[in-house]
Amino acid sequence: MKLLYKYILLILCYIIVVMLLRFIGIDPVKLTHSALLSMTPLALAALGEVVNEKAGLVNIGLDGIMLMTAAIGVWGAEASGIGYIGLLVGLLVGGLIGLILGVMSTYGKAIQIIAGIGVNIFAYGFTPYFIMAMWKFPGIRIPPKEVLAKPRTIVLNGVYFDISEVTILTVLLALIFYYILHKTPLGLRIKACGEMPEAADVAGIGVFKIRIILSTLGSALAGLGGAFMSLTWFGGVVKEISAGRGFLALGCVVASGLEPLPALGFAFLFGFAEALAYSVAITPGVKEIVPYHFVYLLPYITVLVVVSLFMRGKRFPRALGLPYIKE
Amino acid sequence: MAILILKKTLSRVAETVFALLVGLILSAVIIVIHGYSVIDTYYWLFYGGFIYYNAILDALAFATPLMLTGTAFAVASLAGLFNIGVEGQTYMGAIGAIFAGALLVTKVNALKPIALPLALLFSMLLGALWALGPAILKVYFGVHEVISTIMFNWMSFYISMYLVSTGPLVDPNRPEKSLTVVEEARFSVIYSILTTSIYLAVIIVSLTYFLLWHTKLGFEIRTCGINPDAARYAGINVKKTMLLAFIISGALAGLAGGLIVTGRPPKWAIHGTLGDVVNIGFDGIGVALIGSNQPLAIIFSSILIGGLRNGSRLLEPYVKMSSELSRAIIGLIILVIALPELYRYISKHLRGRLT
Repeated sequence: MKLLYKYILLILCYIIVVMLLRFIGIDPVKLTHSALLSMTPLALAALGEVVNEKAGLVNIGLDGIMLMTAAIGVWGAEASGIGYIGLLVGLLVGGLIGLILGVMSTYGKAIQIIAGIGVNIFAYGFTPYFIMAMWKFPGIRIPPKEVLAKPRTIVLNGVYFDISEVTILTVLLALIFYYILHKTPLGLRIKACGEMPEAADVAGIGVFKIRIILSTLGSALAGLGGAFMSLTWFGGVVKEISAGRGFLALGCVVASGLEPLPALGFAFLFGFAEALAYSVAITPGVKEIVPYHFVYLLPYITVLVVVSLFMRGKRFPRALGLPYIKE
Repeated sequence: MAILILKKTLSRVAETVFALLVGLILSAVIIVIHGYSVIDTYYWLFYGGFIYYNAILDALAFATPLMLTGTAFAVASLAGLFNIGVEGQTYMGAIGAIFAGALLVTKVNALKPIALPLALLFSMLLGALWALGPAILKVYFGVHEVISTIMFNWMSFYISMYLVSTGPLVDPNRPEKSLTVVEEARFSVIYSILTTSIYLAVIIVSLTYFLLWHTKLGFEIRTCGINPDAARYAGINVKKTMLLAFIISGALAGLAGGLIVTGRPPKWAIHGTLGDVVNIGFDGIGVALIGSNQPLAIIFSSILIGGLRNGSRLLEPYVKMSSELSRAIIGLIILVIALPELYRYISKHLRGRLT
C-alpha cells in the first residue's frame, strides 16, 4: 500500500514537471511520447541486464550489442520488407552474441569486463564496416519508410498519442521479471546462482545452464532495443546511434540495485532527460542562448547524479562478475 | 631466475600472438561473409601498415598517442580500475593543448618560448582533472568507474565539440577546425606525419614503467589491484592510491591528446567534429590489453595497432571497405584475450600431440 502511494506521488510529480515545462513552449504530450520512445531501448537493455546480473554474470557490452543490432535490424527490415522482422532480427542477433558471451563466461571462465570491452570495441568498428559493406555508403543508412516499424497512433479524447507495441511489451516484461524473481522458485534459483553458485550447484541447479540462458535473454533484449532505436525511433541508423545508451542502461541497473521495476523507472527518468534535452535544444528562445552541446549533457549528468544518490546501501549478488569454477 | 623470466615472457608473447591469429581468422570469416577478398584486404592492411619504409614511419606516428592512452589504461587497470574514460580524457587533453598553445600564448607573448611545455602541461592537467570526477565518484560514492567514465566521455565529447566548433577555440578563418597552435608549440617533424613527439612518448612510458615497478607508489598501486583487502591490512591507503592511479591515468591520456595537437602535421589542430581524437582512447584500451598492461610491451603493441590503423586507410580506396575494419579486428583480439582458457586448452592439446 505504501508502495502504491509512492508511485502515485511520482506520477503526480511528473505531471507537475511536464505542466511547468509547458511555459517554455514544450508540448507535454509530445514530450511524454518521446520520453517513452527514449525509455524503451534503455529499459529493454536494463531489464535484460538485471536478470543477467542476478544470476552472476556482468555484461558491459550492451552498448556494442545495441549499436550492432541497430544496423543489422535495418538490414533485416530491408531484406524482408517488414519492420517487425527487422526487430526480430535484432533480437536474434543480440541473443546470439549473448549466447557466445554466456558460454565464454561460464565454460571459458572469461574475464567478463574485458570481454564486454571487446564486444564494445568490436561493435564500434563493425558497425561502420557493416554499413559500408551493405549499402556502399559510409556511416549512415536511411531505409525506405515502408520497412520501418513506426509506433501506432491512438486517439484519446481528441489527443493524438503515439505508442509502440514494443514499449508496452517492455512494461509487461518488467512486471513479469518482477513476478518471476520474487514469487517463483525459478527466481530463487536464479538468485542462488548469483549469490552462491557452489551451493546452487550442490542443490542440483544447473548454474551454467541458467547463466547462459539469462545471458542470451539479456543480450537478446538489448538487441531488440538496438533494432527499436533504428527502426521505430530514429528511422535510420548512423554509426554512433547508441551514444552510450548501453551504459545509461547499466546506470539504471546499478541504481535500481538489480530490481526490475525501479530499473524501468530509472529508464523512464533517463529517457525523459534525453527527450527533454532534445526538445529544449530546438525550443525557440532557448536554442539561441544555450548551445545545444550543453543541453545534450543533461542525460549523462542525470545518470551520474542518480547513480551516486541511489547506489548507497544497495546490495549486489556476492558472486557477481566472478567465474564459477566447478570442482 | 633469468631463464624463468624469459620463459614467462615467451609464453606471454605466444599467448598474444595466438590472440592475434585467432582475431585475424575470425575477422576473415566476417570479411568473407560480406563478399570481400580476404587476401586483398589483408594484403593492403599489412602493406599499408608495415611493409614499406614510409608506412612504418606513419605507423609510428599513429602509435605515438596510442602508447600513452594504452599506458593510461594500464596504470588504472593495475590498480584494479577500468578507466574507459581514457577516451574523454584524451579529448580534454587536446583541448588543454589548444587552449595553452594557441590561445594563451598569443594573448601573453612572454609565454611564447615555453609554449610547448606549457601546452603539454595544460593537456595533462585537463586530462587529470577529467579523471578526477569518476575517481571521486568511485572512491566516495561507490559508483562503478565503467559507468561514470562513459558519462564523462560523452560530456567531454559535447563540451570539446562546442569549444572547437562554435566556442572560443574555433579558428575564425576556417570554422571547420580549431585554432592552430603557434610554431613554438610544435614538435619538429622527422618525416611526413612523424614528429619527435614519439621520443617523448617513449620516455614517458618508460618512466611510468619505472614508477610502477620500482617505486613505493607503484607497488601500492599494484597491490591494490591484486587484492584491495590485503592492501588495506598492509597499511596502504587504498582510497588515496586509487585516486592517484586514476589521476596519473588521466594525465597520461591527456598528454596523448596534447601530442595529437602539438605533434601531428600538417594541421597542428583538431577538426571540429573531433575526428582526430575520437577513438584514440578506445584503441589505447586495445593496446593495453594486447600488451598485457606492461608499459614496455605496450610500446610494441601500440606500434602494431598503429600499423593496423595506418594500413586500414588503404582499405577504402583499394578494397572499397570501411577502414573501421581494423577496429573490429582489435575488438576480436580483445575478446580472445578475455578468454585465456582457450589458449591453455589449445596449447595443452598441441603439446600432447607433439610429445
